[in-house]
Amino acid sequence: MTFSPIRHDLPSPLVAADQPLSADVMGRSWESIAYLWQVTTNSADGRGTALAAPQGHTHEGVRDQTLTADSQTLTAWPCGFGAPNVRADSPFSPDPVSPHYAPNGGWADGSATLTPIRSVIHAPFAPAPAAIGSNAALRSQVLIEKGATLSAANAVTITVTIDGVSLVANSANAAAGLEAIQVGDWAAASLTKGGPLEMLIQISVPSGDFARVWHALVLTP
Amino acid sequence: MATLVIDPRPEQQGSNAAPQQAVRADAFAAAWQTIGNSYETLTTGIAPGNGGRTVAQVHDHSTGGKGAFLAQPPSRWQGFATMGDEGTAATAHPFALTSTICWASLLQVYTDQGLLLVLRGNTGSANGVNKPSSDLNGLTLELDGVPMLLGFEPTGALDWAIAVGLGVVTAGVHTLALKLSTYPAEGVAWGIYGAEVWSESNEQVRLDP
Repeated sequence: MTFSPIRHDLPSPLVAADQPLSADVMGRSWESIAYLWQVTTNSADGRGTALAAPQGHTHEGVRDQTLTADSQTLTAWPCGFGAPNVRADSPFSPDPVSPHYAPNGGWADGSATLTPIRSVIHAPFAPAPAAIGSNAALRSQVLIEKGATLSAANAVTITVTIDGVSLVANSANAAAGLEAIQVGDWAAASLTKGGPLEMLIQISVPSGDFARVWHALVLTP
Repeated sequence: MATLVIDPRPEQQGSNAAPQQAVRADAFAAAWQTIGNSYETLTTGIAPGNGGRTVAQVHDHSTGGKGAFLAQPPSRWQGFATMGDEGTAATAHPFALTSTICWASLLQVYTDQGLLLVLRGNTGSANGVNKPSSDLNGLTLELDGVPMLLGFEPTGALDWAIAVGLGVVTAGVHTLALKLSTYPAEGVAWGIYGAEVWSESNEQVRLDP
């Protein structure tokens, strides 16, 4: 008996390997097959009630073989990251033109908008009934460090661009030190596709403030 | 394309499906192959009762799908953060800060679990302390601002590694930071080029296939 390596197997909770089914199903073989057909095609639920919408999908793009393969997107799961290049001890702002050739503090100081992180993330695919291939909902978190008390709590502006779609968020705390800034969510199917996508992280501050980016990640909210 | 059709019915009718006898999973597996692998390749159109579905395009998880991000660690950092410069040790905090953050990263945990951090870098070439070590009293690895116990791993002369048990970390977004509060007189110089956090029990999320 051979299964295609890319084809879904039987859902284990439904039928454990080589174990008798429940007494309720025993002896009703044809009815059991019909039940299996209905459940796997998602054309009916376990009681035979017709479903309003199909669920799941096969790898051929035919949504008739699985209970859960495309119906869940794991929440809070990191699916990409980005990290910068900085000289941690330096108080000098980076050259916005060639920061990697003159690594220094990485501090945005109001003179320019910096792009300290350019990375590739992997957007999970949106669950049905979104268009196949479109992205699931995404959220980014950007870790910044403030070099001094900010002129205003929201002085730091972070722009995250994924697949060309930019979203912006600001800091919420003026105190020096680390702060995680949430940018997003990108709604499900708001990007043209899932899979590998370019991510840019930009930071800008008013003149006189200092802040730098330490890390960024993308997760499924 | 040849399609193997396995008809589950004779086996069931002949033995497994007799009254008061179990229908075994093998029979269901055969049925699965028959209806799943074969039905729509042997017929035209859609399966009965499944008219509402959409068939947008063929796609294959093995070339870009959930499997590609299943193995994402809760935190990964692969930038480059140096202390000091080549030939010049760092001796002072930036601006008027009271400590230098040598490295920082986000930690995204999807469910409460024990985690282990590995932080690695290369040895500096300046005069001074050229790798993080237990000799640096002011060096702390903080999870959400709380110092953790540091373990300095034996490595070669050119590299160093730190392993930190973070304990059970709750679900959500956390911050990690390697912080130096006091510089030794001779300064410090090193580079950090990688950090990853993994579940202590190697617990990985396993989605349905």
